[in-house]
Amino acid sequence: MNKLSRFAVLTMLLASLFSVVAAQDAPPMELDIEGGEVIATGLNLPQGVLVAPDGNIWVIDSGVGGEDEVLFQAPGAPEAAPSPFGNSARVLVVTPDGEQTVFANLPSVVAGQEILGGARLELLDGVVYATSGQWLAANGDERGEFMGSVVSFDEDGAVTEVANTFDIEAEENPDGFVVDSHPYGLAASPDGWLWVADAGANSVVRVNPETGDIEVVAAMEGLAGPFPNPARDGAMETDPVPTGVAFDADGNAYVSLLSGFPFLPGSAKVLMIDGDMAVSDYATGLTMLTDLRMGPDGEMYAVQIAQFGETGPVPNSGAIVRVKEGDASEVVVSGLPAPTSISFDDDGNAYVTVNGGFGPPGIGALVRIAGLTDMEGTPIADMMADS
Amino acid sequence: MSILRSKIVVIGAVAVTILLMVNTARMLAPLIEALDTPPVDEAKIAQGIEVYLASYCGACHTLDAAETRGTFAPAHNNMAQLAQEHLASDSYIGQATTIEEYIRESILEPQVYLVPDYVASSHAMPPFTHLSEEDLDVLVYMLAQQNTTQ
Repeated sequence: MNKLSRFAVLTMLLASLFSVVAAQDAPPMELDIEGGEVIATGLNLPQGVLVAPDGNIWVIDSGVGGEDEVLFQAPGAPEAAPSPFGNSARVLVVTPDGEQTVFANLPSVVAGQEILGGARLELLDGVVYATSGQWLAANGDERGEFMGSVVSFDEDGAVTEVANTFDIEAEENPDGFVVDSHPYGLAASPDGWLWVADAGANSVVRVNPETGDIEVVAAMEGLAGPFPNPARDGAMETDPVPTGVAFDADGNAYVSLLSGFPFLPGSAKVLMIDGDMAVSDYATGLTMLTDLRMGPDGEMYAVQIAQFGETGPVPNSGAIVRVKEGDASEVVVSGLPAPTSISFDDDGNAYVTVNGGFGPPGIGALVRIAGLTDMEGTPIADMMADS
Repeated sequence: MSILRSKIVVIGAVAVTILLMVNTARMLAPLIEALDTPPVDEAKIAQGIEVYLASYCGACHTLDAAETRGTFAPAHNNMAQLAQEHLASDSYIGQATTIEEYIRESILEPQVYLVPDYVASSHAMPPFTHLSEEDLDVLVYMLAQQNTTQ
């Protein structure tokens, strides 16, 4: 090899190394969100945000995998494949002025073009809980640590598994399809249970945080789809994919659905689960919902991660939606890049994780949108009619 | 002397003729090759793009010709070249032997062969066995024409 080509190869290696480091440690993309202030950057596919009573903002992300390798079979994949693995998913505490501290780490697996790690956070009786990882029956009986788990943290960030959501999925398989548990949405009910929206199992389960007991609340039915779905016995439907849970003042639970491929606009919805555990449609005509949260104004807000059309994902088509019964929901903030989660402070300011759904790790951010609960909304039905 | 001159002239003429024929053949080769290749059916490509869009292939795949920008799965811009590379790969375990067969197999039986880097993807492609034979034909034809490296 001559000097020139050696130099070229070395330069390329250094350049690629630098780009990897840059992708994880710095915000390479500038965020321009109308009315939004970027609080924290450099997040690795952030999935959840929680505003604590002390004003700090907790964030949980997917991580970057790691230097170890595990055989992991992702949902829909026909076989297990060697996948980068490490304890790189992070639970971060972010002060209101943007200082970040890593509080705890959780497992992170690179599954093809996606990274699976931490999902959501909840605070109950002074203890922080999180949903973590994903596990499929196809991966075997020896479930990885904190894969398909509800975990708690002690004050030093040490992690303990409170319950695993895989076993009940394997035993009961409430929706009757692929045995897959991806505990995602997490919310404490008024009576002190932790409700989990299991995006892989297409069910909602609840966990007793004291005993770890777990029980199925409800299985979600499939959504109308344009093609026969081999994963649902050829039915013309997509997976519902529950993602978020919230409770109203009367104790009714609400569950947001992402929907499945091809993510048709208007095919997602919010379900209501009443005190008798009966499930009904609450809000319809929605699109790709990833989180649900009650605001301090008593209104319910959902996160729309993106809009997909015939040409695929529409850039910056994420939104914050004020959820109304029936088809009366309205968009409050639009133009967001792949938002995943929302939380509020007592004054109605919203904290939203963005660049959490797609793209490389490192470009995720936490954005503060001041006075969101006071903002006017635009009815989605009107927007759909105009388009 | 005159006989010798005549022989030289004849040999020279034959040599020039052969050179001319070789050069002409060289010059015409691309034209002949082009005439042997069936013309691209633009209408069929347009139909293929319609099927591509209606089947929401763009949710996961990027194809400039269809203006799609999906990122969950491999891009289709140079599908013909990619198909050739996969067919020639030692890791290919499908039954296809031509570009068209490879594309058809990938649509109908995507689990037969997974493209490297997408084996562990959590966005595995479902089999599109519900497509009509006519839709499948135009889709395969359109994708087989995609080769941005040409």
